[in-house]
Amino acid sequence: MIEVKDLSKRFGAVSVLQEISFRVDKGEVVVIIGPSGSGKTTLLRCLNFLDEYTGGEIRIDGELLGYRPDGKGGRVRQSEAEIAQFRSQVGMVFQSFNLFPHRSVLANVTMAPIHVKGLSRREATEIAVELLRKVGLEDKVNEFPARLSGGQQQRVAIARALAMHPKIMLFDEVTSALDPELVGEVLRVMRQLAEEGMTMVIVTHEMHFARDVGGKLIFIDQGRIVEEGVPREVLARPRTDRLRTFLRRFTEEYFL
Amino acid sequence: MPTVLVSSLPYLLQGAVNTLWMSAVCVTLGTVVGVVIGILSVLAPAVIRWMITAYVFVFRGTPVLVLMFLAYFALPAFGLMINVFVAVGGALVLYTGSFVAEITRGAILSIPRGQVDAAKSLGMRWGLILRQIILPQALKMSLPPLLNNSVIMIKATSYASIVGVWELTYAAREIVERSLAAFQIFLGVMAIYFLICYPLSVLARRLEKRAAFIH
Amino acid sequence: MEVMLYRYFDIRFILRSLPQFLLGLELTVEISVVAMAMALIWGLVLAGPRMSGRRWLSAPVMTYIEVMRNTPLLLQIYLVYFGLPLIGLGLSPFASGAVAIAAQHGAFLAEVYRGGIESVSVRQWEAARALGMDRWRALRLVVLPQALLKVVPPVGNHLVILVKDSSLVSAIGIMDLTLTGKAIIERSGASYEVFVTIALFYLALTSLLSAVLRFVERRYRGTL
Repeated sequence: MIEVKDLSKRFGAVSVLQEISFRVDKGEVVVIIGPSGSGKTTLLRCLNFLDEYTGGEIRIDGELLGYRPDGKGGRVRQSEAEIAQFRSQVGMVFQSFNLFPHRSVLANVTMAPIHVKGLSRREATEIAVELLRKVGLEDKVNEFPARLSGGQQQRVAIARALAMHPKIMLFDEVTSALDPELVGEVLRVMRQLAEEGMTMVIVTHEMHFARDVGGKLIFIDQGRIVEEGVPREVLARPRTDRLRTFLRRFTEEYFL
Repeated sequence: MPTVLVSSLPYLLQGAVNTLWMSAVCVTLGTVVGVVIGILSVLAPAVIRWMITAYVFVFRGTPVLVLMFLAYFALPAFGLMINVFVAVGGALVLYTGSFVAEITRGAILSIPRGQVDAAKSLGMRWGLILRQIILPQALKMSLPPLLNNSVIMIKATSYASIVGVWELTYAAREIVERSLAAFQIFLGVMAIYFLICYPLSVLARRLEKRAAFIH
Repeated sequence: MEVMLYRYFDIRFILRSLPQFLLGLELTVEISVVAMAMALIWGLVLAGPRMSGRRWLSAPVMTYIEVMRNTPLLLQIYLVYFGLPLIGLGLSPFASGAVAIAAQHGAFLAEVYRGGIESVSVRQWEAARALGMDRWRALRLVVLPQALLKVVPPVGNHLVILVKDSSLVSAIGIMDLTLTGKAIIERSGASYEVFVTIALFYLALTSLLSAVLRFVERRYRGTL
């Protein structure tokens, strides 16, 4: 479903990603790990063109993301409308939740379906309530984000992204900002999504989650893919020193 | 005892009506202009943003009285015969606009970028993001400074009297020059301005306190 | 091209009037400096009672500040200039203008001072006292230096506003930049060029002042 070929991204003179190539099949859960500064968040943000990649290709279902061939052998950036249209099919959940604080939980979830997809308020509300029930927050429908715990806010954020019925879900370290006891409830929702067959790309530090739920593990360091494979194997038998060093930071219980 | 004040009250109140009228029009227009310019100063292409920086620099660094004189003398020179009221009012609108632009800009920039990222990733386009996410929050945040700013602008309408616009302060000076009852009249007129401005200041403070409480 | 510019903007006239402009500039600077000094001190005088716990001290000051905040400076200038002679206190136009400006800006500055001192956390006070300092020492050595740093930017802003407000004294006959401009126009029939020049002078003044303040801010920040 997602094909990344030779992706590269520069911020000015600094090269943040180089020669990134991988695939994500439909229904696959790909987990990306790596030290901070490795470019993993940038890679994720390139997948929905929140950051504009400069070299290489990203294709979603065969279609080139963010660019259009200009008929002269090169390519030109798509219009804002085209990019927005495409983004409505890719959901993203952020480390800092990014809920809209001035609207209620329900309004947060229904805003995009109503204004981007054009659904009626009733239809959008039905979908929203159902999703909030799925993440366990149907009783918080009229609350405002400030009154929810971090874990609850993140679950609302997931429901908000799911309300657009996306083909792909991107998760950017969504549990890193949470108190430890709140992490579990979010991971549970993500696990359920994976079991239902959602195509997911997850950047995370939760190694046991990667091992249990991930179908493919990618280790990125300094902008390049260093190792790739089945999570259980890659984590138990790292082939490179860089991965070994990185994993040493996590306690024994994360290994097989 | 304040006999001169009492007998002049009808005349002064007419002036007050002019002041209120001028304030209402200029502050409202100026605020609208300022909000638009403030939004542009964040989103527009570099050329326009540069022009806005220049505009804000000029209008905030020059006394409003000088701007009023400039409008009064400049417009006829370019062939536009408009009356004093409109010329001075126009200067005041642009003056207000420069302050409101800065206030709006500050409010917009203080909204965490993550919310814009989330909105974009839901497929929202800029127009929608502005309307649903940025402006509601920015305008609510701007309310106290905007109210304080309107008090400043209402006081500025009194300076128009120096350029020759007939309003409350002009009327007051007329009466004092005729009757020499300076204390009565000026204190009385100060009270009238106070009655107009004080409620706005109090409202601004109350809104500020409420916002601080929520956060 | 040159001729066209000349027709729209009579530069030679401006250059010939330069001495008058400079005299006006001098007066603007003079009255601003005097008013500034008075306002800074007056603000300090007001700040003490304003922050006092005793209502009979703080209430009158608070009322005074509110009145200054919500009434136009022009009226206060008129009040001082036209009113004081009636009770025997005839001040020159210059003095009237300076006093009125200082009366208003002193009120604003008192609030700025208050904000600066109150923003220095209570814990600083406690720490100083715990180290054995009495109230005066604590104020002088711990709280005031920090308050001073916080206060420099807003005080600076008010000083820039004060320079702009000085243009109002043109209403009582002081030949500052603004009145000079008006006089030149009335005498010579020249047009808006004069006021464009006046505006440029004020812009130069306020920009210079802002630049100096930014410089002071930056240096002062280092020493703390």
